[in-house]
This record gives sequence, C-alpha cells and structure tokens, in this order.
Amino acid sequence: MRGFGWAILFGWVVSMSAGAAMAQPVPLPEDYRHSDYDAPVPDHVPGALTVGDDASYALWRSGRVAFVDVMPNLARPASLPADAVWHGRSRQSVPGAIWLPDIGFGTLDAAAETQLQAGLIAATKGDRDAPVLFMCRADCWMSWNAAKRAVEQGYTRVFWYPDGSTGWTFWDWPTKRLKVFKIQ
Amino acid sequence: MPHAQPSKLFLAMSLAIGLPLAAFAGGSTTNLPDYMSVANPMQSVETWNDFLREETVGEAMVFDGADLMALDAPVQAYDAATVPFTLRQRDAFGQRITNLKILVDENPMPLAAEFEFGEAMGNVTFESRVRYDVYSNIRAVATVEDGRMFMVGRFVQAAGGCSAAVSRDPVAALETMGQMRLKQFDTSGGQSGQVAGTERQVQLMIRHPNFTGLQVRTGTFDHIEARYIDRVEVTLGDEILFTMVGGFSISENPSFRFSYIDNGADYLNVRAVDTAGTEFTHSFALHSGT
Repeated sequence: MRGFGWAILFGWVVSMSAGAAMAQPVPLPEDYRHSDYDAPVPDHVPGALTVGDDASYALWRSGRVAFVDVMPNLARPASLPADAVWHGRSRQSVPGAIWLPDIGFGTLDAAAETQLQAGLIAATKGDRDAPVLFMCRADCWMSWNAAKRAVEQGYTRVFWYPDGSTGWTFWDWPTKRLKVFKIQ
Repeated sequence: MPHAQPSKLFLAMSLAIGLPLAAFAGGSTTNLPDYMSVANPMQSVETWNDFLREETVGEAMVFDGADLMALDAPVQAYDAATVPFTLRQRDAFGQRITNLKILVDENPMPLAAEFEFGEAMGNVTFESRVRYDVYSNIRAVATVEDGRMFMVGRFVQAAGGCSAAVSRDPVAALETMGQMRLKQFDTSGGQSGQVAGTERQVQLMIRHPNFTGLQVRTGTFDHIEARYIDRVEVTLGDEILFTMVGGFSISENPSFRFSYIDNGADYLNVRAVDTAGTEFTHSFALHSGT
C-alpha cells in the first residue's frame, strides 16, 4: 500500500511539472558547474525530476520526501586568526530540511564529500530509493550540482526544486531556521 | 519581558471620553520597574539556545541582569558598520562587574568583545560601537565579584555592517593605523584639582580599519585581508582599568568611552595589538579636573 500511495503522489507531481519548459534552455554542463553559481539554470538534472513551487509544497506536506537545502554558508575568511570563533550565517528555509551547505560546489574537498555522504544517508535513512529533494534559491547552480551528485550516487527518486527558497518564501509558506548538518 | 501596550482602540476611546492617559502610560499598567520597559527587547532565542549560550557561559546559570545594568542600543541603526551601544551599571547593586562580554547573536563572529574590568572602573559605564551583519540581538553578559552572571540585551535592526565598504582607502588606513586620541570629559562639576576618588570620564579613540575579511576592494572585488585589534589594555598609572579581547565585530576606528575612579595617576596608558601582531602604545597625560 505504501508503494501505491507513493506512485500516486509521484504521478501527480509529474503531471504538475509538465509543461514547465523554458523558452531558451540553458545547456547542461559536461560534469558540474564550477563557477558563477548565481546564474540561470537548465530545466532539468539528468535522472532527476524538476518540481515547481506547488509540487514542492505538496511533497513537503506529504511528509515523505526529505528536503535537502544546499545553500552555501558565508565562507570563513582565510585571513582570520585560527582561534577566531566563526559561525557563518543562519539559514531560513523549509521546516525539516537538512542543511548541507558544502555539497553544491563544482568540486568537493574531503570534508564536503563526507558531508555529502553522511548527509544523504541521514536524509534517506540509508535507503537509495527514498525520495529526496534538492534546493537552494532561484538561479542557483548549487542545487543543480547536488541533485546531479545524488543521482550519480544511485539515488533513484531525486527531485530538483530550482526556485528553492525564493519560490517558497514568495508564497509565504512556513520557514524555519536551519542548523548546519552535523555528522553524528 | 512582556510589556502591556494600550491598544489603539483603547487610546482612541480614552481620548474620546477624556480619560487621563497618564494613568495607563509607560510601565504603570504592570508592576515592572520603569527600566524594564524598553522599545527593543531581545527577540529570538534560537541562536542563544543553539550554541551561543554554551560557548559564552557553558553550564553556568545566567540571571536577568536588569537590576545590575542597562544596555542601550538603537531600535534601528543608520550605519550597520557602527552601531553604538552603552552599558551602564546601576548604583545600588553593591558588587563590581569583573567581566563583560558583548555579543551580537547573528554575526558570523558573535563575540564582539570580552572585557576584564579592574577596581578603578568603579560602577561600569562603557560605550563603544559594533558591526551588524543582519538584524540581531546584542547581549551583554556580565560576571560580578561573587561569580554570578547576568544578562541584558536589545534587538537592533541593522544589516550589512560586516561586509560594508571601508570608509577610507585601505592603503591609507593602514598607513595611519595606531594613532590614538583621548578626550577627557570634566564630570567633576567644575571642581579643579587631581583628587583621588573622583569619577572621571574619557573617550579613547584608536585609528584602525579593523578589517573583517568580508570586505572587498573597490573595482577588483577581491577580499581585503582580515586585520583587527584583538587586544587592548588600558592602565591608570600602574593600575589596570580594563583589558579587552575583541573580534572584528568591533567597528573600525575603535572608540571606547568609559568612566573610572581617579587614583591620582598622571598618565593613562594604552596598549593595543592587532591580529597581524602589530603593537600600538600611547600614554596620555591626565589633566584631571582642570
């Protein structure tokens, strides 16, 4: 029964998403986007399903889809003294979302790679068939990169919400302050 | 602290029927002392609960500090890079403030400064300026002689102050950094002479860009390296007035206005060190009461 309910939801989301093609599609990069992350994005991530505001909201309301916000945090200036306590900024986003601020960049260092692996396991409870949605804000390649990574990791139900928090807050849907995901 | 405000409707009705409004104004509708009724009380406690409390005081109890001190900061600031605050200790508390932390909750570096106060500071009055990255609480956490901690705070609407453009050309700012001035205010009421025990008030101004590392160079957009004064030591003759360990949340050209109890010393000495390790010292001749 669980699978049946999921199929209905999935089918509905697909129908909601149809016809959202852009006038001038942005070409897909060969691997990942590596710079100028604040720019128009393509209309899809290969292997993932693009969802708009309403569909994302429905997925969130269903309580079945893990939301992953990949909005990067304010980078710590390299010139700061080593002992200076740095917290970056807080992030106001979809309630219940997991905030993985380092996994949307073009290349990941070891720490970001760990955050990606551990974060996705936490979001999906280790089930690669569990639905997971990636977002940041509008015109942000970070969520595109992250969704693509999840697909390549073998996650089978990946959603990409390109309007992200920009779309979400436009409709005045609830938000909550997120904490950066910490590996347990 | 919740503070009952008379509703607009109530005000209008009161006016209409000629009720004396004074009876309902201010704190008189509650039993709170007047000083606890503020226009901009602290708001969200999320950051405090998430990590700031643990980082600042650990497991220690923190009491409401309204009876110990008042922290004044504007409801809204014109310049988020220089948001003024004033801390005033109340007369009647009976214990010295030995340590004071000033925190801006939402700044990337929340601890703006930590002060250790010597006996000669008396009842602490301290004024300075901080940067504001986004709308946030500003908190003062004070430790008194018996070790108890007290906290007061305000919410200030100001944003962008940690990355705001520097006010002078960065090269010029580095050439003149370390210059100091001391303004001496005569609070003796015109009484002359250098009398030990008299309360004095001064303003110490240090020229330093206090670069945050978040500011960019005009034109090139590369970041200016962080460099800020992180240690200040002020002595009155041989007696310590205060030491400060600071972060970049203290505004450029740090300015500290404070009162102290005259101990008869002829000089006020300042030693400041920035994060590049450069040391700046200055001794100011005191012309107390003249």
